[in-house]
Amino acid sequence: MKRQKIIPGTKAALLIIFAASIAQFVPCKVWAGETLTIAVAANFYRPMQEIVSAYEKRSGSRVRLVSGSTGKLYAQIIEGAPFDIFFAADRRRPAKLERKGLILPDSRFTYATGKLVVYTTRPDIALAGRGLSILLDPGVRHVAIANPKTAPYGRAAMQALKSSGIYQKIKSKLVYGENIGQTFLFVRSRNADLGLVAASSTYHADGKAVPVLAAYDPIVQQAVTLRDALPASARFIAFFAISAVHDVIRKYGYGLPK
Amino acid sequence: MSWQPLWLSFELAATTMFFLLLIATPLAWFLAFTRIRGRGVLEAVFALPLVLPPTVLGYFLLVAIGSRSPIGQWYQAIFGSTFAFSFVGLVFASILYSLPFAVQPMQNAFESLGRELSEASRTLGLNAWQNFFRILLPGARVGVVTGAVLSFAHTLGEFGVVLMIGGSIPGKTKVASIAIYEYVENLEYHAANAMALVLLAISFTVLSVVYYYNRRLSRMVLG
Repeated sequence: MKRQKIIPGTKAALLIIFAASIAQFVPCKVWAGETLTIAVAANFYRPMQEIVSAYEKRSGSRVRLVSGSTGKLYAQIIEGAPFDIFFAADRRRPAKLERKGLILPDSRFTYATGKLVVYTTRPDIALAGRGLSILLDPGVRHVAIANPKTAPYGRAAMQALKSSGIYQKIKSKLVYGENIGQTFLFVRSRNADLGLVAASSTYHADGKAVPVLAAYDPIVQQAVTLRDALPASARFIAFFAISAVHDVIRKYGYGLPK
Repeated sequence: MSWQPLWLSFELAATTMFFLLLIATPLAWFLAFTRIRGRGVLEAVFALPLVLPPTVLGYFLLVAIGSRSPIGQWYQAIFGSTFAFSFVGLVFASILYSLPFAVQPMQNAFESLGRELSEASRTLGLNAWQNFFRILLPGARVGVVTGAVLSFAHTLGEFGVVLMIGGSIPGKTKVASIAIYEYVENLEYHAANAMALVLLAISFTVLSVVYYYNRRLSRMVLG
């Protein structure tokens, strides 16, 4: 029997695939030791990217960002996720971690207060001066909010809907995003006519947004340094106090802690 | 634990399977026997959902069939509702998502029958329809059933696509996988365990029953 000719490059390709598949198992303590892993609530992801790139430039060290809903990140931390710092979208989850003894003592602090806006990309919907009553319009069929059970912005949105007294009337219009980023996408892609989203997500986005005036509990966003965090975490937290960082936070529509 | 999401999952899986039987069977037959150029490209297109991450597929659908796109406006004019956040939308997405799982076994079954069989039956005077329904379909029955069951099972476990386009509306788009995910996020592990277990038990039962009968069926066909 004649031996089949191997297609040229096959050996090289196999070698590369093999190398790639084992690369993850090779311990790289030298790099890993310097890389901070920061879990950040979806609403704060974009400002955090700006802050991190400024930090990386100044300190020369690397930061890995993990974003998701506060509820999910919290559950992952409880299950031992290897994060160093957790920037949550509320103070409930950081406080819970503190009670469980999973954070460094006294590391819990408020880094921003979030604001809700009504957001739409439909040109025919005028938001100005209407408040939440715009949700009652027959032309508004789907209103997106983040899942109130897991996302603090969803919880705040639910409070605003209830305090303004329209919740029962628009209940059937509600659709739920898994986190605030997805909620934003629902509106941005115009699948939902309106959404109650974080002011930060509408920064530099097309469409219109007005602040929600109905009452909701302030969205106090807190951060904690986790118990087994790398020492470099302290440097990052210290960096957070500089005014350039505060400018970024304000630019995205957050309030700063007093 | 609420039973509604489980029921919804089965409804979605069954509806998807029904439509895939209608769509995937002729498609598989076509792909198996066509001699057109670029058949490989066609096969690649239909196998694409196999490779794409479900969230990517969901994102594409959300943007492509959102009210901002012409397709989305056209869809709304026909169905009177948005593509996202509706059960019908989920059915469409699931058909796309599970298509390769239905097509591949069916196509293999048709191919294994060979062209000669059709040529013989056509020579003996059967027309194309008769050939398909009396000769090819019974011959490929096992592959067709396997494809249908796989698409059912695959839709039952669908998560990423539904997460992207569903909007988690109870009774409409909040299927079992989404409900379980939300239970876990809320740290309601008991409810998550219960629903996951029920889903597992029912899926396992359905699959074993079908595979058992499929084996007997194949024995009958092969004699």
